[in-house]
Amino acid sequence: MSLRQRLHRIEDLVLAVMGIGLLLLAGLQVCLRAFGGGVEWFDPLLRTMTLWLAMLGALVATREGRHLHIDLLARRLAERFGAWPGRLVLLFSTAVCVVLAQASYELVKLEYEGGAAAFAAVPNWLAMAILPLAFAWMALRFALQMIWPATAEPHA
Amino acid sequence: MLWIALALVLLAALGAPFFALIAAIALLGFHAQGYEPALVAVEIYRLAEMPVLVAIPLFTLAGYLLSESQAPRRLVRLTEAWFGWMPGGLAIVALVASALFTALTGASGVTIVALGAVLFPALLHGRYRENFSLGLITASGSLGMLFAPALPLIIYGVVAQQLNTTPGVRMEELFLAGILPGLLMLLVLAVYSIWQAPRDVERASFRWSEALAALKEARWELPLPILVLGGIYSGRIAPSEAAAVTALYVFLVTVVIRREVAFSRLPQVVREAMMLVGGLLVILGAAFALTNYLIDAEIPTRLFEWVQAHVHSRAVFMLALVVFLLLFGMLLEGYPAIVVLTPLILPIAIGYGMDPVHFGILFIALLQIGLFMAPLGMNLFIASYRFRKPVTVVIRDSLPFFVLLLLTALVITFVPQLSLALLDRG
Repeated sequence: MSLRQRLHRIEDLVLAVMGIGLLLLAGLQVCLRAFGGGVEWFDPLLRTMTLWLAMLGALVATREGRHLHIDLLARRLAERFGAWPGRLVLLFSTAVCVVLAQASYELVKLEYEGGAAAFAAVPNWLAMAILPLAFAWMALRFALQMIWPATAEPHA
Repeated sequence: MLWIALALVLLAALGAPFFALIAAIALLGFHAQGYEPALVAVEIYRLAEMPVLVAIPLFTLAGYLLSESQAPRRLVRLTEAWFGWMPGGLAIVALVASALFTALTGASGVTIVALGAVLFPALLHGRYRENFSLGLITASGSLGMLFAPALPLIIYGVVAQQLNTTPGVRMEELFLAGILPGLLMLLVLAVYSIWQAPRDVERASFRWSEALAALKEARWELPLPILVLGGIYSGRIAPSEAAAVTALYVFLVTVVIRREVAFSRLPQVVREAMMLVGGLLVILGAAFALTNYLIDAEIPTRLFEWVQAHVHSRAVFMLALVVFLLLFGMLLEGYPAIVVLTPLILPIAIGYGMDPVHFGILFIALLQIGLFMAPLGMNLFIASYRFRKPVTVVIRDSLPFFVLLLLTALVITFVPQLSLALLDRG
């Protein structure tokens, strides 16, 4: 198994564990609440997990070229002009993700200095850290796709 | 300014991801207003600050688990046992099953591919004309987005709440408001199907034994509508809690009790579901930033003044709205249209005296029809690809369904009571 495949495996695994984790925790919280209990920091934890799931899901969608986009013209143009229109789009996507990664890094830095807690003992900046990480990773992925195009992986 | 706009339109046409386009506009807008780009990140981080958003991965997971299990087959058997005896029964089965499926998974194209694979051959086997069957399957992807817990309703609710309208938009109200318009769309197509049904074939007669057996087979799925709808429609628990209960219940039934989704399949299924969620939520995050910029730059207000200066009659405004929303529904494939257009158009609609809940319902009704509008509607191409028919044939065959649903959408637009009757404010 190549390093790249191994990396994809890990991403998928984290996504799966976190998705099932969200399902179980959210269910548990509702059950606890029905009996008058409920853990206070579960709610912010669930919200943070939603953000992480969203960003990791977007990361995997990037890997497979599955972000929502207008598909029709792109396919026609690719037939006509080859890979160049696609590369232009990838360049644009890379640039946007670089700016977003940097912007969210600034935010994380500010939070780190501010030092508020998101939930339990987890500080806000750590909950936010997925933003710069995922956007930087996506930027890298879009950039690499200019050379090696994205492929949807076959379903197991 | 003009050059930037043209470049973005060109990039969109070339297939740039919507989230990147929306984020780019927001970044440029914040820059023009003299704000730091970090503020765009603050807006995206609001994805982690809204309790209702937890419902999105949970409902999507539940939908994907169900579609991986044998539940769709049981759903078809159940509806067939109860409705199959009617003239046009099988077509009605297809419509009802598709609507329920889209409501749960929130993905209209998936409905055509997943259910159409079963229903299209079944319709042909039942001696329905081929062009009727193809049209019906294509149109069936455009039902169900008005029923809870369909994601378009939730997304519209979240975006509309950003705008702090008066009156406000509550999630339970949206869910209630969608019921009658959604049922009307189903009813219209059902009546048409009865009219178009083959007359010379023997239909299965209604048998209590089969009806009860199908009911018994679906016993684990039957509590679901009560869990989802009872929970949400009663307004007693929050959407995220209803989603949590639904997802946990579906997980227990499909993975632990029935074991129709093998444990080893689970990572695949979760991954597919989360890719959809991720794709959707990054768009929403970027849209939070865009909305913030639009409001800060007072663009909705200026747009409203411009429209008001040119359009004096409410009826003309609403007709223009219908055309506009259909067009954008066709071009932007649903979710991106909701997040981009709501902040721009909702304030105008309110200015013309429309209720924001009613606006949401007609917006989504038109978007889902736009999905199979000629010449560019996404579902036309999905059906063409899936059933190996030229797009022109799909367009021709689905045209009667399109016209009927468009007329229904006009009724939904001009009769707000249909949306508001079940609400207190109606």
